[in-house]
Order: sequence, then structure tokens, then C-alpha cells
Amino acid sequence: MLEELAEWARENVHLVYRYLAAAAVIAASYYVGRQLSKPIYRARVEVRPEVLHNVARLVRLAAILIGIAVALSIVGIDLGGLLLAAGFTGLVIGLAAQQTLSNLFAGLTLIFEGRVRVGDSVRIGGDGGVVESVGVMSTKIRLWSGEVLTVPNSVVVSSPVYNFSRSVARRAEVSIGISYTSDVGKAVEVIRSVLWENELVLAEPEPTVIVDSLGESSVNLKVLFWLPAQEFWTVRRGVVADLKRALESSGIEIPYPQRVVWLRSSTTSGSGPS
Amino acid sequence: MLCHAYGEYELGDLTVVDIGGYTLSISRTSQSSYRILLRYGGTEVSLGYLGLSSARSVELAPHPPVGGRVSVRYLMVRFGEGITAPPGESVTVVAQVPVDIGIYVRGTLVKVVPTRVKYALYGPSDMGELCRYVSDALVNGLHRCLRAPLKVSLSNASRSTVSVSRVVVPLGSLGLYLNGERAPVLTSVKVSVRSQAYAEVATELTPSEEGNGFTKLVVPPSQESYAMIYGV
Repeated sequence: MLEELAEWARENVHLVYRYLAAAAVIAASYYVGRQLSKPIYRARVEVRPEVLHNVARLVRLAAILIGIAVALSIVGIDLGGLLLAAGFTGLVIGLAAQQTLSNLFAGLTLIFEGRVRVGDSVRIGGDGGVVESVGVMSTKIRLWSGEVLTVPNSVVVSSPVYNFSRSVARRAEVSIGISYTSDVGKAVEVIRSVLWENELVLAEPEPTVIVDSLGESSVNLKVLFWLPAQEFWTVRRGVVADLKRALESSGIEIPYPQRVVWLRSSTTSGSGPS
Repeated sequence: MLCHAYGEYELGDLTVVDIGGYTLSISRTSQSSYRILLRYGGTEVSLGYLGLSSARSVELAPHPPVGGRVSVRYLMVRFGEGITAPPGESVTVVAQVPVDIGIYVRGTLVKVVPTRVKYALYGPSDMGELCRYVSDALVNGLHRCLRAPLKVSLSNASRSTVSVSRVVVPLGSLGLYLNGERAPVLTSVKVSVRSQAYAEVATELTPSEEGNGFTKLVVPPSQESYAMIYGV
């Protein structure tokens, strides 16, 4: 067996050299690709990280593809014929892998359009979190609850995306029900005063307090005010607590749900409800 | 001296300074660190720690308004009633602006204590600017040592009458002087109104008050401009 192999190698020594050279070229192109992409990953330029990451991957892929093309020509495979076959194969694969290609193009759209960027706080569909990476196929989101959600890029592109990091300010909305016996005018005054005293509640756009509805148990007020986006949740929480304290200390009741029951007593016995 | 509270203080275990109702207390927590607290109107705010290994004194001086808890670059001055200027006319108004308290160690500013802070949004929520906010309601009742005049010279360069209700000023380029009574005075601002929707604001090197025996330039001004593209 070994003798046969040695005989074949002696007869096809030029072919062995070619295969070895082709393998060396592929290995070298892989190494060159890695070396070329490394400084791109580490580059300190004012480019979004997702763009940098994907450019580095493309550079590596291009280097490897060039290496493979050179290797094929070394072993004597006709690249023209191969490209023709690849074109036909590509058509077949394209039809079969529509979803994959859709994700790929959606990924390119996301990267260059900048709809979501690494570090943005977003809500896509019903899921909210911070964008960890935007790849060519999928986007990774670290949910508020800590899990990592991978969303196919075609879904990101076709879904409504709330990007909370794009706004410098956001409007908060708080509903407060006060009892029917409380003075609405005084309640509005107290609420306005609390909002004015909080330095992070924006003076402009001016806070708005409206009597929203007359509920079953309370007069419902709606309080609308603007906050710096970066402090939104912290300040909103604090304002709600401050409003409760201030309303209570001003004698304005925030009632529990209540129902008035009328009892009708009948003078004639034995007929009708009581 | 109206504002005698500004000046140099030797630091002991507890140093308390009252500047116009704002009480700054600097208490020693270790051999080389001090804790700063600010009290005003029933509110107490911790302003963190100050590390001083060798210095044993600090100087307190007024400082032009800074960002505070939110990093902002502009100051929005809201005029109670709009200032109307016919075409080609100029109007000068003096607004009162709260000043912050600067803490200096050996002549170097180490901390700015914001006093009366409020913010406002200029422009749309995604492309606009968050600004430190000033209005009459905010400055009312503030001691003279904690507010400074800001002269705003408006000129109407448009062909129609304009009404200016707000001006957005670059914060970092405002300078501050002390007048003869050691009360703070800000440098002035020039506004060229091109239309109701557009104006150019430029900070000047000249103080907002003149001829009152200036004794000290505390914060040097610089010239910077800002285009108000979301209306005046």
C-alpha cells in the first residue's frame, strides 16, 4: 500500500507540489486576513463599532476568498468555468436561501442606515433592552431582564423600533385619581409646585396637568412632563413618590376604588327587593 | 461689601459658609478628605468629597452657570414678556441669571456647586439641545450674590417686526466679574435676529455692567456663537 502511494507520488510529484502550494496559499491568505482585520477591530476612529466589526469581517473574508481563487488556479482548475457554475449554483442557493439573504441585506441596511446602534436602548416589538451587537445576519439585544435576545435582521427592519437613545428628552405621563370631595384646583397647584421644585423636570416644554376623566371612584388627572432622556426612569419614579407625599400633606385624598350602594327599604312587606 | 461671603476659608473640622441662604458645609472626614454639603430651603444635597493632601484652605467665588447633574452646553434665557423689535432697531435688556459657587484650591477650580438649577429643551426632542434654564420665576427671591446681570443686546436684522421671548447662549464662554461690592456680573451677549425662526447669538468679552469699579475678573470670557435655528 505504502509502496503504491510512494510510486504515485514519484510519478505525480509536480501535482503534489501544486496541492501543497495551494494549501500554503490558503493558509497564508487566512493568516493575512486575520492580520489585516486585527487593526480594524482595534482602530480608534469615529466610526460606529458595528460598522468597524463588519468591515473587519469583510476584509478577512475577502482575503480568504482571494487565497482560495489563487489556490484553485495553482491546482489547475479553470476559474472561468467555476465562476459560471458558481453563478448557476448561486441562483439556486439564492432561491433556496431567501430568508438568509433577506437577513443579510437587512443587516447591511441596519449597519449603514444606523437605525439601531451598539449601546442604544431600544424596544423592538414587545422586547426592550440595550443593543449589544449589529451583525450582518442578526442583532443581539441585552434585555432589561438580563437575557440576550437574538433578533434576525429582517425582523428588526420590518418591525417598529422605538429607539430611546436618540432623544435628548422624553415625556412622562402619570395618572392620578383624587376624590370627588377634594379641590381639583388645589390639587393642580400642588402638582405644578412639585414639578417646578424638581430641577430635572424640564421647564420647557411646560408641564401640563389636565382633568382627564370623571371615574367611578375618582376625578382622574393626567400629568404630562418632560425629562432628560438619560434620567427618565429615575426621575419619573421620584416624581410619582413626591406627588403622592405632597398631595397627602395638602389634604387631597387619593381614594381607593369605591362603590356607592343604595339600599331601598319597602314599607309593604313581602314585595320587591330590599 | 455686599457679598462678603466670597473669599478664602481656612479648613477646620467643619467649615460652614452661608451665601445668600445657601449654606455650604465642608467637613473633614479624614486627614486629607473633606465632605461638601449644600443646604437651602429645607433641602440638603451631598456634593461629594474633596481630596486635599496638603492644602488647608479653599477659596469660594461665584462661577457662571454650569451643567449640573445633566451635561448641557447652553443656557436658555426666557423673557417674561416677548421683546418686540421693529426692523433695523436694537434693544438692550438685562436678564438676571443664577450663578454657581466655585471652589478653588491654590487658585485652581476644583468644584462648581450649582445653586438654582432648572433645564429646558430647545428644539425637537431628538435633534434639539437640553439647556440650563433661566426665567424671572427662577431668579425671584435669589440673593444678589447668587445672581448676576446678563446684558443681552438684540438687533433686528430682518425686514419685519420680531418678538423675542428666549435666547440660547453658549455656557462655556460666559465670563464673570466681581463689581465693587464683590457681587457677580456676567459678560454680555449680542443677538442678531434674522427672522422669527432664526437668530445668531454671540458672547462678548465686555461685562454686563459698566462704571461700577470692577475689582476682579474671576472667570475669563471667550467669544463663541450659536445659531438659534428653532425660533426665538
